[in-house]
Amino acid sequence: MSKKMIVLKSSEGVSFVVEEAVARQSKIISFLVEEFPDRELPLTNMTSEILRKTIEYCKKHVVEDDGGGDSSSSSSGDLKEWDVKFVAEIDQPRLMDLLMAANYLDIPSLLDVTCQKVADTIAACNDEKEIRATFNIENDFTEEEVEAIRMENQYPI
Amino acid sequence: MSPPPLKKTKKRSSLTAGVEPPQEDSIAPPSLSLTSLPDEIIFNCLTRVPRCYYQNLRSVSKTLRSLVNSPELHRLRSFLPNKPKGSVYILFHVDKTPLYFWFTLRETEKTSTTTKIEYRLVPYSTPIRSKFMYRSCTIALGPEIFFVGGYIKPSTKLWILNTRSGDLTKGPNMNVARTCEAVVESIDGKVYVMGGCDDDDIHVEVFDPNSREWTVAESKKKLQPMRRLRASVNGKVYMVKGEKIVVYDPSKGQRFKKVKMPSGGGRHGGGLFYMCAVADVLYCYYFTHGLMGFDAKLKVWRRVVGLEKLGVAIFHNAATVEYDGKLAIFWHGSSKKDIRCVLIMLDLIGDVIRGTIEWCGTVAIMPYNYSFYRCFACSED
Repeated sequence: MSKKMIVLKSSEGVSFVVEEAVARQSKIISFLVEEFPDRELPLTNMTSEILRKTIEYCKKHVVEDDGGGDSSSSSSGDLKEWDVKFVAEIDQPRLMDLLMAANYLDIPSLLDVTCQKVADTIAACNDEKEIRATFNIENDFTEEEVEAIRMENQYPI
Repeated sequence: MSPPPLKKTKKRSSLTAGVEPPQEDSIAPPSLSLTSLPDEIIFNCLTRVPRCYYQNLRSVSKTLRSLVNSPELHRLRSFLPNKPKGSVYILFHVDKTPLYFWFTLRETEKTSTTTKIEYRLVPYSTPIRSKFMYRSCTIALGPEIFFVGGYIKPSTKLWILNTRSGDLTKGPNMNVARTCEAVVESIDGKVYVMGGCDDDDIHVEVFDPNSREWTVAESKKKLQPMRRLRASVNGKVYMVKGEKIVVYDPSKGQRFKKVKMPSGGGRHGGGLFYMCAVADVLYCYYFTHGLMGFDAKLKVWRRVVGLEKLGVAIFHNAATVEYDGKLAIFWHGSSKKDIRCVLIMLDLIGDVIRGTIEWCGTVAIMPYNYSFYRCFACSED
């Protein structure tokens, strides 16, 4: 029996044909597939690059319940290792996009690993300046507030 | 007919997926700012950041400052499925008897007049006479406490106490018999047992709590008996040996490295009382320097400031453990009956670590002849 395939379309209009079981890890897609079977699903706010990454993740994490499939179903330890490598290879801007994609498509496990990567990156920053630079955050404190924070961070010698 | 826009199906709103894509932007947009994400996602990330980095985050921008300070974040932290909070278990010894008791730290109910959380120790077990519980090497990992090997006489035995169920079970035996000179640590979710034996071939063994099996690890160098003070940070074991701290790295062929103590250490390692890892920083309590934190990445010691109110001498007989991302210290009060506890929040600010006493008080009043024996932190899952 051939596997049921569905078509996802990126913001650039590129179509991705994926196994339904792979795509169904997204709760949103799972819902849409049931409501609108046999239709192309337009994901207009996801670039092809991010959609490709998301599918790569879903392919790795698909669970074969009736066996005999050729999709990967790895042991939990291997998966964890794979996840670590997966997020390690993603640069900062793409990580944010992937995080948004995980949220948007409602893929809890992908949201988990991307949020954890953000948390780890924050922890690896030495000070607030590095956090600002890494996450593209504007310093919107007034001079008085900066001084107040400086005082707050002072310590007795 | 095409599927409707995705936004109708779920509350997640800031993004839209329409049937007819309105925008045709081919230019890559600039990197998304963290603060432009929905609060829900920022909270999801922040709950995973160890608390000691929150002070840095407060200094980044107004938005992050208000999010880090919000009660919502602290509410979410308390519901984390893999929250590092866990429970503290302390084993007390009744002097001059073979009796031991387990106690556990509990947050007590808020009283009507104050919203402050109080803590106290409550009994966890009936008296224990099982000798291995206090004579073997021990380590907490997940919800379990592992008792490995023998005391002076070597043993291959493994006992496991599940703190969630209270069940004590016998695990599979080790390959070689070890004495209490062995070093036991938890690294990457496994129990590493090193040394404490005469076997030259099998020096290090690893127990996997999931598969419930022992495997022999490669070891190039034998481990000399060490003082019992040790802690593991980022998969490496830090042990006190004379005037140095020896670092054992199981991932790099078991080579040994050394870390200098602050200002050279000295006799008894500069009066090092305690070692405890909190949020992946090694904390050492020195008689001469007070509390110091070791940054393993930069290989520098950082002084912990702001704890001047805490004396030093009180810590000569104390137990330390990481609790809820904070350093918990237990010690006997001025009257030995009082068991005191302090919970210290540790914030990294520039070159120093600021310690803030979050709570300090008496957690129990014990009979005179009760002494601390061991202190463990277990997770609840």
